[in-house]
Amino acid sequence: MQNALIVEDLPEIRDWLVQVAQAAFPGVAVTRAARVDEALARVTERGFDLALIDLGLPDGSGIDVVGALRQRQPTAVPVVVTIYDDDDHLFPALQAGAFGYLLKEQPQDALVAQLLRMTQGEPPLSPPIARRVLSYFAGEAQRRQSLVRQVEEQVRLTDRETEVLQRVAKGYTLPEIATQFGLSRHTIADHIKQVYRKLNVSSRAEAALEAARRGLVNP
Amino acid sequence: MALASILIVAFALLALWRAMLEPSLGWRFSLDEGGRPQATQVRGEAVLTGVRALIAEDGLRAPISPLALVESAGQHNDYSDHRIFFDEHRALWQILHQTRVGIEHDRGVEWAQPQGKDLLELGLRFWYPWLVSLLALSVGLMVWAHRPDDPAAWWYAAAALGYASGMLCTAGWGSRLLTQDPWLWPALHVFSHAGSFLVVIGLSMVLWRHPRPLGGALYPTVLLLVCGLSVLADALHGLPTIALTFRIPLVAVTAAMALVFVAQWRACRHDPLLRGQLKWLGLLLFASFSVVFVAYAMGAMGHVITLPQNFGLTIIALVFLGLVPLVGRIGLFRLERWWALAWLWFLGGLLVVVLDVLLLTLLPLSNENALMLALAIGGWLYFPLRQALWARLTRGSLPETRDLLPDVVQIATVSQADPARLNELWRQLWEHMFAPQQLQPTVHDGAVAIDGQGQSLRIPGWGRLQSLQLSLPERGRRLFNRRDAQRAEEILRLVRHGLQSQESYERGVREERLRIAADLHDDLGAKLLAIAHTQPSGPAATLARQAMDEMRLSLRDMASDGVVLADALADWRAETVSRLSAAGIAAQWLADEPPAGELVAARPIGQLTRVLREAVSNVIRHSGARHCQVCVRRTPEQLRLTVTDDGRGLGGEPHSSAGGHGLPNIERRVRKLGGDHRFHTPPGGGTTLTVQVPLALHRAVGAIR
Repeated sequence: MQNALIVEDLPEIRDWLVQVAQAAFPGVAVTRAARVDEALARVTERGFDLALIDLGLPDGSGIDVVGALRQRQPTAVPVVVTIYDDDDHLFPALQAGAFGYLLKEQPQDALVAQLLRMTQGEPPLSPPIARRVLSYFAGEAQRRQSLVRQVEEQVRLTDRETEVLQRVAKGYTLPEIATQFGLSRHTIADHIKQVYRKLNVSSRAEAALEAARRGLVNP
Repeated sequence: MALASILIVAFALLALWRAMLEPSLGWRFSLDEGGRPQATQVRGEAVLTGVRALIAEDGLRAPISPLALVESAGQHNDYSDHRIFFDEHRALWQILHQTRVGIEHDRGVEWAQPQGKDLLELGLRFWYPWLVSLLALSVGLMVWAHRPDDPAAWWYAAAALGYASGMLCTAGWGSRLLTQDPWLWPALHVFSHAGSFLVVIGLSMVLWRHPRPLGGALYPTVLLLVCGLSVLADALHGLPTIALTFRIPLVAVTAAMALVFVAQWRACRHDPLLRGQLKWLGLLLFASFSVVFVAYAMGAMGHVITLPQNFGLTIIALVFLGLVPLVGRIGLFRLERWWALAWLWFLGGLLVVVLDVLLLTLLPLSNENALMLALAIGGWLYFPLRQALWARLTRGSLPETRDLLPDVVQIATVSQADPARLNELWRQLWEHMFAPQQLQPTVHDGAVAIDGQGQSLRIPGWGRLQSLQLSLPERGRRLFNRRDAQRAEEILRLVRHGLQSQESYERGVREERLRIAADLHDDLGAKLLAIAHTQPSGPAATLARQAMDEMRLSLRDMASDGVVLADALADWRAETVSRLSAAGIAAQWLADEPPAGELVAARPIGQLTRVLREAVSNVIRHSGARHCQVCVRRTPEQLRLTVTDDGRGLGGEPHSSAGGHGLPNIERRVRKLGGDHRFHTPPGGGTTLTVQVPLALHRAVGAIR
């Protein structure tokens, strides 16, 4: 981790997030932004390995920054930092390509630990989010039929991925699931990363399709 | 079809030809108000009063008596009068074939030359029954051509044939200027009576065969025997009066139709479609026959019939015209309501007539006064009677729209998140409204529609409400009619209106919650966050974080009406196991799998989340335990939570938590939920916390709200 982007409008919190990033990754170069337009400009200027993005920004939603980063710099790890913990707020961020989320009020060491886990490839997945992802992939089956075939192949969850999601939805922790399946914790984490990726691809394809449809109806 | 057409044309021409045979003097003979013969110029205003006879130049004289000028020979009850009637007409016919004929009257003799009759001289008294009878005959024969294999159609055609024969004869002599060809006249008179019998036989047999064939040969045999013998007696003058050979038997066999109707009614009681047909058939028969029936019954009792027969009898044609929709099977259900109206109208008329007759016979009243009085009393009795009958006929035993309002309100207020329950209530509403024989989901958009001749009613769905198909209302006792469809539309509008208001109410509540949540996060949350960051590791930061947690839980309780119990348990498990594992305590989670999709009220779940969280915090911070077991058991009324650890135990005194609120908070929360809690430390050490709270199903909560 060499370059980090911190997007947060409150100066104290922004400084504190910088401390968290530097504590997790000593020597990391930090770029600060307080607004969506500012953040989008930074994203076009230089490459980042990590981004901590607040959702509620003065000129818009941090979700737009997540989306832009994900598209321009697929290797970057976007993490949402928020005071909302409900899936109504978090799910759209995950769809946009966020790799996880941090709750702002947590103690610094807890945040550092979570951040390290995320960047080491183990995104957090709570039961409500798992349920939401499952119902997204199940419920959108019909809509996905109209997706471009190649995209469809990419966004279909494998049986194992679905099983992992189901266990998480029932409240099992990742180490427990790893034991149940006789797999390493690392493999389970990979499955979850795939789920996040597919969620993002599927959501993007859907948005593109929706835009195309609108274009046809109203050129 | 060709045969039928030929028959109709032949009948038409034959009747016309016979009516045209009469030579015309240019005068029409009739009776004046005093019952004396008079002659009226056909083309002019002149009237000859006190006509006595026709005379010829050679001195031949034929008297014209009042007897000879009645509309039909049948108006003379005694056969002796018939003989005089026909004798007079024979004499008159003879004189009319002289070159010059004189009409002898009060003021002398008026001479005229008999000429061929022209079509205009036939008058309305000919053309009207002529047309009506041909129309009835056409309908009858058409039905027969349409369903040649149906015995009912044969009988129906026979009735039409009898009707046309009788009516055409009547048209012939009813429209004569003075007389008609006397040689066939007596025979035609008997023929017309036979035609009348044929009408009754035909229609009785239609009713005997239709809608449901009735068994047994007794009724048809007796019917044919009575009619045959009567015609025979009529032809041979076997009995002294025409009342005995014609009117009384005819009235009797007509009245017997009522019995057949009752038998059919019983036979059709399990088939509303057939009964719908029977209702219509019965109405036609009763309405048309009762008028003639009353007239004939009075004739049979010896009263003089004043109504011109020609016009009276055309009412019977109603039967033939009215049967068209029945045979065509078109829109029978439309008649359901109409049927009731027609009955009421008909009964009202009958009431007035019966009252009129009663008043005339019982009281010394003039015609006008009796009619006035009958109308007054009739109206007086009729309207309340109509009210009662209307309610009875149209509604049956089904509830009024207002009685269904509780069902509608229930649909509009039950939680929309539970489609199964919603549709249960939805079906229940239609069950109450129509008591249908069957009720099943279907696919239907648009308005309420009646299908299969009223056998089923399709109700469109709305939002989460399914479209439904209802068959045969009132457990199959009748058909759906237009009124039912209208009422269904009304109810549908009410339900939609209710659901829309419920929806906008819920949307409003949702938006308000989101606004409150956003405000709390932005204002309170930001400040708590600031506190947590000023002294990141001090007790103030811990409190601020707890407060933030607390705030989120409260908002979550507020955000949802119901929580899926399985989801709540999953969340508890994930949090508890993660926390205990992170603290190095081995966690064991035991919970029953709750029924899929079971919703419970959000508040107790939110409170129990805090209780569990605090209990686990206590285990982590104070017990020094290495194992912890959490157990959740669900009974129909309660949720029991047990947290057991193998730590050092309470030692007789509940330990106070770091925040100082742990145990008192648990107690307070459980008490508020109406449950109870218990700490227990067995002699070997460790602690068991047991919490039991009543858990209302969310459904009940929704219903109360």
